[in-house]
Amino acid sequence: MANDLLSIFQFGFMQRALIAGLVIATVCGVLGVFVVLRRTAPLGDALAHVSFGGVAIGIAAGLFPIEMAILIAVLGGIGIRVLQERHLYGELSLTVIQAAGLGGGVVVISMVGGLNVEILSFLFGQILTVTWSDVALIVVLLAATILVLAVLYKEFFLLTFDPEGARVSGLPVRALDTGFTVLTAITIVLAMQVVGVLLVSALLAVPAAAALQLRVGLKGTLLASVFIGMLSVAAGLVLAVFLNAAAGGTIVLLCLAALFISLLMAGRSKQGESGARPSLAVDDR
Amino acid sequence: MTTTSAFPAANRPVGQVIVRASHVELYRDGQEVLRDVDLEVAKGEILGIVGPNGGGKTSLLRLILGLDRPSSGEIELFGEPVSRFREWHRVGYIPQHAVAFDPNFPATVRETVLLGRVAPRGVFHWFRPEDFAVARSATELCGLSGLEGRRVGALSGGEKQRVFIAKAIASRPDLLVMDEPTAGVDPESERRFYDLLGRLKDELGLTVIFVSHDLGVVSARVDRVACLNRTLVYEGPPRALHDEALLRTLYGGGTVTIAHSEEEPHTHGH
Repeated sequence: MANDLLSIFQFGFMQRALIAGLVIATVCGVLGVFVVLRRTAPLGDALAHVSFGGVAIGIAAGLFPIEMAILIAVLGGIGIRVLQERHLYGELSLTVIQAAGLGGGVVVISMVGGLNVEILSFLFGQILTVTWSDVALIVVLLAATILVLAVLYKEFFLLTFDPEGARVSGLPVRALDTGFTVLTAITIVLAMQVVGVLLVSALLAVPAAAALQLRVGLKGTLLASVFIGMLSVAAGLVLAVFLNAAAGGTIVLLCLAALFISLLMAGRSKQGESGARPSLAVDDR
Repeated sequence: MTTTSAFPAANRPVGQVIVRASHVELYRDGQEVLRDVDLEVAKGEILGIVGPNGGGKTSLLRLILGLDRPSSGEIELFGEPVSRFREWHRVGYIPQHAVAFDPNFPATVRETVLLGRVAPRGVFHWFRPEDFAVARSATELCGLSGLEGRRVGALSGGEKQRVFIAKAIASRPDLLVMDEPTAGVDPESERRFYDLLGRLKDELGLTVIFVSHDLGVVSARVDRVACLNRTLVYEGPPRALHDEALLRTLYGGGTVTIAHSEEEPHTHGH
């Protein structure tokens, strides 16, 4: 049985899907922890919808849809930051930019002949059809993202932990915030190929949310988040093939299962902890 | 009414001036928040800023920290106008709700204290062995040995507060600024906090500014107080806090009792 399961990875399409999926799970796992802790999980959703506009323009113009989506998502991310600095409420600026991307995308698509297979595959994911050149693009861009995250790890950590303290300590907070948004935009567009526009923010946030329940320090949480994402991708691919189901949806459902299990574990360990110090309660003020 | 004349600003600090506010005014949405505040803080001093809620204590701190700009007047840090000041690693800041921060945040005590080394080390630089050593000694100084591997969110209010102090002093600041540091901690932790403050002053030569609404403990534990109710009602040695006329001015009438024993540190205005 195990051999049967693994034998499907003899196929080139499964190898490509696995490599792309694992790399994406790694970056999403790391970035997701910061996104969740900074309470910016909706940013992922907004950027995914914005990038749909880029995909539409790319397909309509016969250009590279992924590269166009990255460009538009990065511009959208910067647009969100600019609106937020102009004191447009955080969520409202997400809605505005998201509407611009999605609205523009829908108009462009309708003008060039409506929804086709290529566009549907962006909406729902297309991991089983990625090509080696897609894989190469994913690996190169995400390796660069991981490198930036590694170099700026301590800055992003401080910014997440205590934004005002980071400002007081003289850190270039605006530049770091913009950099973080750009990294998120790139990651979202690449991860979109695995689970699609509609589910990509789940791939970013859910493994991180599950890992956060384990209460194992920041480094431990980052590792756990990556591990949960990778496991969900690998198992999701296998299950999807055997069940003849959509890979993106299967992967996201497995992420949610991991979250559910970790919530149960957290609930149990909390009962085991001292009852006098409930760690989920609002503090003693 | 002006009361500054009734309580002359005696005991002006001697020695190097770390913070100087001159004629500082602040308006927010047309409302006066601070009027004509003059304040100097000397090196190695512990200054307590007290006053009623809405009296502008936190606003003054934010101006000192460069988080907001005054409508008029000037603030200098280490002899440099705040707008041009760049050596922010010399300033440690502990915000008001530090004790109540996200209890689910995953970072351990060790990881959190190390964050104090981020700014001194600089962007794009990895931590070096001395960063870990400084963070370790800050952890020890704040009495957190043995808790390094614990999650900050799982600690008591007093322990959390000491983690934030350790993080702040890990950046080796010359000035430590705290907003309501004893809010939300129990009396025993509060006593340990003030003991620690005294040690930081003696051992590290730290200058400390903190805001508190707790007149009793402040009067026993600081070198100087600044009483702020939109404007500086009084600035000088803490014994003046025993003066009822001053307290009436500060809190606008009503009775005010000050407990001098550490067992009953609570004081109420109005």
